[in-house]
Formats: sequence, structure tokens, C-alpha cells
Amino acid sequence: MYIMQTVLHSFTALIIIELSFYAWDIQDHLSRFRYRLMPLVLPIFMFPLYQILSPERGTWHFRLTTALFDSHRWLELKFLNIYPVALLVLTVLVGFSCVFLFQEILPIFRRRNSQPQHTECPEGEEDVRLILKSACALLGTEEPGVIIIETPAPVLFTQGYKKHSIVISSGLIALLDREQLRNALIHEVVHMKRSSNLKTQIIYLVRMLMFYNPVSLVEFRRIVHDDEFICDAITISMTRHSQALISALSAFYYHPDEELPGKLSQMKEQVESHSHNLLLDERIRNLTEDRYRNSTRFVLTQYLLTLSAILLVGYGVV
Amino acid sequence: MGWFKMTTTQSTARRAALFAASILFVAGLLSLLNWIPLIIQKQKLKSFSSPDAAAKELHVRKIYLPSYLPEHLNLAWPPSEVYGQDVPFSAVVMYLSFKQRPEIGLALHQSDAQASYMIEPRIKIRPGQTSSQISLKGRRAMLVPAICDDNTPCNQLSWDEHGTIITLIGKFSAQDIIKIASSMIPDA
Repeated sequence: MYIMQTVLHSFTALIIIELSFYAWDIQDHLSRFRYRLMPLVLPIFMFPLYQILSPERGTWHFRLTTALFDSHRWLELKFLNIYPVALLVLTVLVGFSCVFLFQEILPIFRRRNSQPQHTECPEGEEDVRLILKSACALLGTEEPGVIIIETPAPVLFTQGYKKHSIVISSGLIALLDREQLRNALIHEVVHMKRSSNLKTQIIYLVRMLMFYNPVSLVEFRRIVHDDEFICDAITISMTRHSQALISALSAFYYHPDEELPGKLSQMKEQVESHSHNLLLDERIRNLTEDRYRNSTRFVLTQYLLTLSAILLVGYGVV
Repeated sequence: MGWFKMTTTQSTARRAALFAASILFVAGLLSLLNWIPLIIQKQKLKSFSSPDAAAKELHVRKIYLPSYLPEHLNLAWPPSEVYGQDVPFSAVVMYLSFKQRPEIGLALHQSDAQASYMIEPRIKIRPGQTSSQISLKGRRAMLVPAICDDNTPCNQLSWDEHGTIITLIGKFSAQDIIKIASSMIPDA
């Protein structure tokens, strides 16, 4: 019952926030990031909260007379001695649990067991440090450590939760000019300033609690994407040089070898690279069309109204 | 400046109205989705306006109704709530309220004796003293003196009427519930 209700509550919350984006004309990604936390976090607590507030919520009488939507009516539909809706729901939940296991959990262990060995390379470190020093002074944040790895592939990410270090590849340093490198590094410093790693880790733990939930999977990914958009917006508000950030982002397009079609691992890699490239497309489009210029501000009243609507409608969904 | 303020207020009001309409749309959509299974499988538990309406639609053999309600109990007739189903088993549930207040005074449940579970009555009882077996127009009935969830004394009486289990829960004395139950059984 808990599993079914968390999924239904996530779905209703997702529909309500999408309609809120439209009704309140919410365009900016910081607001969207905050709204998207609702379908991810609220359903975990909604069912126990409602049960404490009104224990009769689970009775047949509540389902029949008060509930807006009673899942039992669909799950108990019986044709030719089978329950088709219940079977379909079960299949979807098991399917998404498998996606979670094979796409998210197993790769963590695989990566742990086979950490790629890159040699550290001090070349270019001075340039990177200089850019980081000015970026950190501008954002008022502690200067991170720098790890330069020797690989031609474009690599750039921030690691650590409290004490950060920026990992960058020699290939990327060679590929980008100074302004592009500056924009890319400022983007990483913004991630540090926003504690993106810690936030993502916490949100991921919440997502893990509802590993079976398709909405959690989708919303977690959209939250991660929103974080990238937020950091892009802050970066260009500081550098005023969106073209340099666009060029830096373009270096990260990834096209895996398209030979040997039909291999499962290759198909998986192609799907992953496609979604990676789609995100880059959207980030570049946002920058090209200057969508970050007229960002609306976060309005608490609208947020609270949306939260109340989710809680009210969710009460009627059993 | 005044014009700008007016426009902003109008825009906020328009957006708030759009938001309210969106929420109503979601509620409407959920209600529609809730209604569809009842159309697909009509025999599932649902509410009826009266016992007659339930008798017309359901395939239940007979709906047992009391022909006598003691005046002093102030029970309102017809029942304030009637529910019934054919699937997964045949059952009819009725609740009678008191005349002066909306509180339920009598619950009448009838369900197939072969049913794998029972529809939980809306009057919750905590069995108090030991139950006793009594004779009700020649049938063996079980009388359970109990305390209702609002701490008022109540009684539960149930028996098997030709393959239909009839259960009455009343917030009044055992004598009164026996009189009501007797009036539900047709004379031989």
C-alpha cells in the first residue's frame, strides 16, 4: 500500500508542479530546482503523515466516499481471472527497480573495482591555479585543489563535499583557449559554492529510498540538469562571455564508436552518450538564446500554494 | 508607475486563477479516473440512494430490512447510507442515523456466508463481556455486548439466514437490537 501510494503521490505532485510552472510562468532553473524537490521528497512522508492525521483514510468507506482517486478500483479490475492493471503496475515497478540496480548501483561497484589509472601531470597547472584564484576571490570561496590527469579526453569535474578539488584533463587544457578555460573553471567553482556534490548526494539518497518509483528516476535527473543550468547562468552573469562557455561546452560532446551494432554494452553507451549530448544541446541553446537574462525570481507564496495543493490533492489519492 | 502596479496586480490575479483552475483540472481528472473502473465493473462496492435502488441493481437474493424500529431509539428511516456489491461476494451494508444528530445509531450488514472476508463496519466495537448464543425465531444468533469507539455501550447481533450472514450493531440495549433483528426475519 505504501509503495503504491508513494508512486501515485509522486505522479500527482509531478503533474501539479508542471502545471505550476505554466500557471506561474516559472522559467528560471533555481525555482524549478526547488519545485522539483517536491515530487521527490514529499511522497516519502505523505502516506505516514496522512495516516497519523486520519487513520480512517485506509478504510473502504473513505475510499468510496471521500477519496478523489482509489487505486484499489483499478488494481482489483479482473478479466479472465487475471488482474491486468495490477500486473502492469507490478511490471513497471520491477522494471524501474532493475533500471536502478543495473544502471545506478552496479556501475558504482564496477567503477570502484576498476578505477582508471591516470597519471597526474603538472603541465598547465599554473594557468589553472591562476584562473581559479581569481574565480574563487570573485565568488568568495576557498580555493580548491587541482588535479590534472594525463588523458586526451575532455575531463572536468569537481570532487569532494567539504574540501573540494577540481579534476581536469591535459587534453581539455590543450583544447580550450584561456577564456573558454576560465568559463569552464568558473562553472566548476559555482558548483563548489552551491555545494552541488553534497546536495546531489543527499537528493540521490532520497531517490534511493524510492528506487522503484519512475517519477523519482526522472525528477532526480532533471534536478541534476537544473543544477547545471543554474551554474551556467551564474557563470555567464560573472564572465559576461556566453560564447566562451558555449565553446567550452562544445568540447564535451561525446560520440562513441558506432561500429559493431547490436552489442548490448554498445547500445547502452550510445543511449548514455545521446542523453549526455542532449543535455549539452539544451545548455548551449539556453546560452545561445540568452534565456538566462530574464530569469524570474523565486516567489515563496507561489511555492507554498503549490505545496499546499500537492498535500491537499494527495490526501484524496489512496 | 500606477499603471505598472495595476498591470502587475492583474497579472498576479490572472496567474492565481490559472493555478486554481489547474488544480481543479487535476482533481477533476482524478475523479474521472476514479469513476471509470465502476463503469467497467459495475458489480463492485458502491453507494446507492436507497435499499430499493440497491435491490434493483444488485443480484442479491433478498435485502433484509427491519420492519420495526423502537420509537424511543429515535432512529431515522430510510437509511442514511446504503452500499452494496456483487463482486467479489454479495453484500449490502446500511447505516441508520439518529433523528436529531448525524451520528450513526445502527449498522446493518448482510453478506454471503461463503465470503472470504467481511466488510468492516463503520461502527467500531471493542467486545466487552463474553458473547452469548440466543435463539432468534428458531435461528442460532450470537449476541456480543461491546463498547463502541466513542465509549458508549452497544451490542452486536449476528446470525446465518439461509446462507447470508446478517450482522447488526446498535448503540442501544440488547433487548432493542433483538427486537429489530426479529423484525427482519420473515415469519414462517
